Amino acid sequence: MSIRSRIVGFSADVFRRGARERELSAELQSYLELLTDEKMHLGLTPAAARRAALLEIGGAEHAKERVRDARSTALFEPIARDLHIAWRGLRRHPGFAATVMLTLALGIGGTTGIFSVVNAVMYRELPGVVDPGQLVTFTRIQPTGTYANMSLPDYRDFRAASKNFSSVAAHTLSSMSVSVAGAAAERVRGDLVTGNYFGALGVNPETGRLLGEADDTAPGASPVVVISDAYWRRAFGADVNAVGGTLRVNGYPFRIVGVAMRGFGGTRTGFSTELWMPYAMQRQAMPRMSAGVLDDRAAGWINVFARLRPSVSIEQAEAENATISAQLAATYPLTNTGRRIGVVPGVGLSPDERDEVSGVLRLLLGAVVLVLFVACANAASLLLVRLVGRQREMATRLALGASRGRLAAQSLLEGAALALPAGLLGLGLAFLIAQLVKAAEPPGSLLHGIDAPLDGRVLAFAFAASMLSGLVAAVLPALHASRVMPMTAMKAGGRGFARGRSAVQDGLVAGQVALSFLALATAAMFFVGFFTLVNAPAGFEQKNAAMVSVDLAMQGYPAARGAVFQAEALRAVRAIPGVSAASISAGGARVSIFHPGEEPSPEVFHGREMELGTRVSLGVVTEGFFETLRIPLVTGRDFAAADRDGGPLVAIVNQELARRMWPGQPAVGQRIVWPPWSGPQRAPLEIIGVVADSKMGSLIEAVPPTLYVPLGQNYDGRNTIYVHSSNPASALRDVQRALARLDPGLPTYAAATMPEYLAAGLWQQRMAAQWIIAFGVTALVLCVLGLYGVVAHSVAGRAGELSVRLALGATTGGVTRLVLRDGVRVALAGLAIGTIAFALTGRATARLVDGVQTVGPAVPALLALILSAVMLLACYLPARRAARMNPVDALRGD
Amino acid sequence: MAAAPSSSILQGTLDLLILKALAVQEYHGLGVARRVEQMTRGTYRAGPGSLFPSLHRLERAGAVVSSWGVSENNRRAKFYRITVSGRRQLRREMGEWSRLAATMTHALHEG
Repeated sequence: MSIRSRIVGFSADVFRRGARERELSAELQSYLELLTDEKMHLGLTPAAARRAALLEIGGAEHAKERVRDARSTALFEPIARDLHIAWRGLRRHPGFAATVMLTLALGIGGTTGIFSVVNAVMYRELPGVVDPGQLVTFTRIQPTGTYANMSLPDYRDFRAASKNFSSVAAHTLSSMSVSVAGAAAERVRGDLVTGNYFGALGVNPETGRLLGEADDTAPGASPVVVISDAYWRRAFGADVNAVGGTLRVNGYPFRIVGVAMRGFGGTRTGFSTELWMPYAMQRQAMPRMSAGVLDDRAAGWINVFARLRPSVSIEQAEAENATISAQLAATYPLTNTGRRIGVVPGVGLSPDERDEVSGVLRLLLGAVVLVLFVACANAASLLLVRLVGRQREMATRLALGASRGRLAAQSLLEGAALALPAGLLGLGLAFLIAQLVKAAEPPGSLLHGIDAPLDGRVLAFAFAASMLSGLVAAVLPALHASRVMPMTAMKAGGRGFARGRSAVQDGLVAGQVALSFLALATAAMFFVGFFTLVNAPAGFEQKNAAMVSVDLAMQGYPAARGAVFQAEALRAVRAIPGVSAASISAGGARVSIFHPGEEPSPEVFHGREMELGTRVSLGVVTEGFFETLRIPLVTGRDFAAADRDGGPLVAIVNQELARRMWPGQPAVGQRIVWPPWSGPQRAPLEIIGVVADSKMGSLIEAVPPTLYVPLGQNYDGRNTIYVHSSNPASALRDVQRALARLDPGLPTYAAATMPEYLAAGLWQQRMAAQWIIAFGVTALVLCVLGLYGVVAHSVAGRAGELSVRLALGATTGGVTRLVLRDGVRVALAGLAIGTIAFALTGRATARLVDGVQTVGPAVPALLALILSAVMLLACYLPARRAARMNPVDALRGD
Repeated sequence: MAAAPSSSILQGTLDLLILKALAVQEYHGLGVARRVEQMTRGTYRAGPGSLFPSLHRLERAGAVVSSWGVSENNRRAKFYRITVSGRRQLRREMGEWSRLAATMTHALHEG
């Protein structure tokens, strides 16, 4: 029989059971009449014929019953009956049912909560975007690495040549200084986009119109902007007359042509875009970009995504992109040699970020799955305990003819009956966890402000987790139920000298102890890892410093006026009481430097800057920077106010760079060439000092070779002001006030004390440590409760035996030890297994988060000690109760 | 039932006999029972308690279809007709049965 006819037949049976029953009666009736006719034909009277026929049929009900059995629903009816019995049984023991449900709910809720975050980050459906499953992101793959950005000329060529995409669009996210009708400027996220951006995503306008190809033509020709629904509400109170009005972006007027669909905030996970304008307006919207960037094939600054045509696979798209890449490399060897454009599914996070997030999330998911296992083991041992108490009932049912399969099935259904409400409870918990993750993550974390809705996928996950955990929890009890021996069970009746505890239960408890230990040891490893990173010598001031940023270029300051502002700001900040040092820095770019005479020609350098020379981190700083951050000057001198434009070009290197460039030689006095990527050539720089290594950029990565140049010779308007103060939090507020006095219209951003800033950079490590600790403790609590329950139950089961021992003169201590011995043996076995499991998995788990190393034996050993003590207590309490009971009462009560 | 199908070996044989009966022409329930009786020379008498479960099982499996009609003596009755897949099943099971019977005969008489 085909599956289809089976389903049709089954549903027909379910939905037309009444009709079928009537038809069956009619058929039997007709059979009876035909049979009667036959008898009459043989010469019987009608009455005698009918009697004979009835006799031969032998009870119509019996026949009907057997027909029903032959039909499919017959298979399901006993299940419904068993489910009912299971539910009734649970209702009679609400305390037991509640305990199992809560236990399972903890496991299911934790797992579902973390899954909902994974779901939101990894499979997020962008609000307002049509069919996001067809969207892909382009990546630029070169010998030096994989990058998320491309150049506009490359984009145009791919768009023209590729046949596998229905549209190829691009955007560049940038902060912009925006003001409405004379109000103070606000720093918001804006996107430069291609004309087909909204069309490719399928986003509609809330009001007005969106951008089209006609808006993205000649540079500067169409100063139009689309605003987000959120910005429309915040800045204009959702006034429809805002459309057609004017918005100043970096001081330049743009006409608002429309509002994007409610909920749409660009394609970038973790960032809400509030403005969209065409690439043709790049000079006004992103003035920092170098001149001619729109037509520069060497510039990597746009993010490209595309919509696959239906039935085109990622592989086909990749193959076509590889062909186009090869053609471009042949046509433009200077820039495109070795450059390939890859295709990754989805938009939102770059492949790097996806790796970064998925490591942490995989870890958390692993940790909650451990908790789920512990919860299942716990529920299973609770069910087993209950089953042992019901042996006599089971035996009776077996004796009355119930099949062993039926008893096992009923036990499984009991699991399901417990797991479903547990799943509902778990959903509540999951919602809570998702909210906590969202609230706890600081800006800078890729999980900041993400929405983790309980969508269909999450609900399906929760349902699957519930059913699976119900099944897992019930399968051992089911096996046990099917092995009940009626005679033995009736005789012992779960009392007297029966041990009341089985090897299966011991195994479950040991398993819980092992899993809890694994979870806690892993948590401890990340905790230690996090604190090691935070407290590692980073080579700079980590406590008494603070920082705040401003963007003068975006505010429309020309270089000369900006330099004046920088000098005034430094003076004002240094005058703040409590501030012992201050400095201004800019940039944080990576650049290439050369020994004099080894630099390539400007054209070659422009095309393949990243592949040439020594790559270094660049720090553009004023004098006092090293003092402010307490980075020791090893030799030479700091920059001075006199190191300005017109003077000899100078630079300071860190020890790492000195070692690489001039091994075994003094660095001070050496010269280097730092070619500009575009524009007029720059004279060689003289090294005037060497500073100690520091990990300013990231506490995790190795110290980067760093080149420091003076701000006075390398003007940059995007600045961070650093101060050193014994009270960085209050100094930070004073600095912001001082800056506001100098220019009330200048927005400040990224204000943070150094500890806050560093913590934000370690969000994965911190998150791993915090959450796994929480899960580990949950597992431990469950496990201790499980151990306690099993020992207590075993004591109850042995009450008779123990009281005889007491009556015969056993000491209280002796009985306590007797009971303790069993529990402790199981707990120790669990600890041993857990230790082995941690030894096997620790190294691999640590790799999931950058900068975390496995811990030495001390941490697991300490943990094992603590766990042993807790386990001992869990066993001791019921043991003591057993030893203190009155033997006479116990024997009589039995 | 004189020689009721007692063991599990014989449980499937009623289905096979019904299919064989229906292979020639369509019958109502009693007709099937009488035809099977005739084919087995009276040794196999299927009462409604085994006949109808078999018929319904076969119908669910798609081996037979049923429809209401009028019997030879003008009674309303449900008639069963074999389907293409029923004929396939009949051919297959006849082959299996012959092989089994030959094997059993051989084993019991010459072993």
